[in-house]
Amino acid sequence: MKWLRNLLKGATFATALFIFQACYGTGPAEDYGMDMSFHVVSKKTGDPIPDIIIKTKPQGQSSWFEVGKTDSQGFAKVYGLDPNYSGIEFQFEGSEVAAKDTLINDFSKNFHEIRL
Amino acid sequence: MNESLFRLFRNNETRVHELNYLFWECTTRCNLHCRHCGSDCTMGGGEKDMPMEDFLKALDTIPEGHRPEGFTVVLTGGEPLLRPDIEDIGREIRKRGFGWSMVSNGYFYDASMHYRLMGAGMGALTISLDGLKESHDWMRGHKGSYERAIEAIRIASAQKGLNSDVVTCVNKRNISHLEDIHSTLQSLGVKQWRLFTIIPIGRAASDPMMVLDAEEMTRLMRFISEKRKNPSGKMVTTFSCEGYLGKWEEKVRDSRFFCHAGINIASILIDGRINACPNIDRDAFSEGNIYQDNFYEIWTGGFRRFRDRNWAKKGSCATCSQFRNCLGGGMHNWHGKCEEPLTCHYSLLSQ
Repeated sequence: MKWLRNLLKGATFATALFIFQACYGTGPAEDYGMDMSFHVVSKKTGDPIPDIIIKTKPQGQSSWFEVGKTDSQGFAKVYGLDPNYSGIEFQFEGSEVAAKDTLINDFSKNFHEIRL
Repeated sequence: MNESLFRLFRNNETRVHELNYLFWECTTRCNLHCRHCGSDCTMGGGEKDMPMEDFLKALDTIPEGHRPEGFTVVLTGGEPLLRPDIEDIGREIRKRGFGWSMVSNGYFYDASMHYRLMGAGMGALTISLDGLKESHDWMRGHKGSYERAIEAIRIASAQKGLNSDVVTCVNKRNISHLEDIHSTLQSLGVKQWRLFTIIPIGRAASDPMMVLDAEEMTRLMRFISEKRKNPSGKMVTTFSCEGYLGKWEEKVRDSRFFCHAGINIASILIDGRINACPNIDRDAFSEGNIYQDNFYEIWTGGFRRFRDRNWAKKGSCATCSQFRNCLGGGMHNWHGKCEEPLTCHYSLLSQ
């Protein structure tokens, strides 16, 4: 009886009733920040580039950290980005390309085509 | 919420039985050798890790309209971070519209791992800490595991948007250290500290140090109750929802006891068996196997013993005045022939 469920939800402030935690499990997963998708292609040929490591510099960190990698079609999706504190850069995995090749700080759109 | 209203809520939840919490025992391999392990995990693991594709196939049986907001897939083990494809798993789960989380011993959880998992969409994390340095390492069977867990807790607790908490298995060795553990966790910025006791299964069954007696159990209730009544910081201290506690019910946690196993919780075990929580007797209560059955059909049509607990009114529960509140305790409390519950928090606390 979903109507009764909704009524009880509305009638109580006991959110813990509906957001429970199994004895030995985690709490409910939060869905935080913004998601961003990328398509990384070659500037010269237009071909997709796989295995591009995507890095961000999280709040309070002086280092860049990997948060994703492009698949065989050059696509990648990164979750939980904080628009207030993140910059996103790309570099070829295992190459000697400088760390700040491409820096994105335009968070107004969630899909970016990157030409390297 | 009073007892009657709560029972109305519980009975209605049982009737609706919305699946919104799914464990996946993605490996039984583990780098530690914990004294209380319910899985009896080993470094080699008794079973091979289930391929990600097999789990996703089962997950895909859940129809689009039956994936409520907040649905969480919990990766558990063994130690999930031993799987090299853990980020791919997380991304595939998110791609399907589910949230995901992980239970970890924290040993491999450094900053690099943290940001890779956040980028893969992890939304909650539980890290185990079973004492101060000496008692944690003793419990975990591995020197140095304390420092690694502490570092993991520090990283996770500082992350905005990650529902992280710390769990501690209270035993005879660490019960005297609760105050110090509390201070340590508070200084690390922990949001929630969840304490639980062990039921005698797995390795804990043969270890006399693991199970608390009546005096110790009461001491634990007093400690948690006091911390909730007079919190000295932002950290919330709570008791796990593992059994009915009588008069302590509302003093040590946010909600009354309600075992959601088979009502909102399912699990897919390492060998494909379908159950509720992974610590429930696999031979007695498994409902099917993803390699033979449609997972979601089993969820909707099976799990009858989980949704009607009257069968548990036997043994010491048969004449108990609290049965309507307790329903035999957690489902993990019944093993083998299920003649008698393995433990009874209520009777222990009534002594």
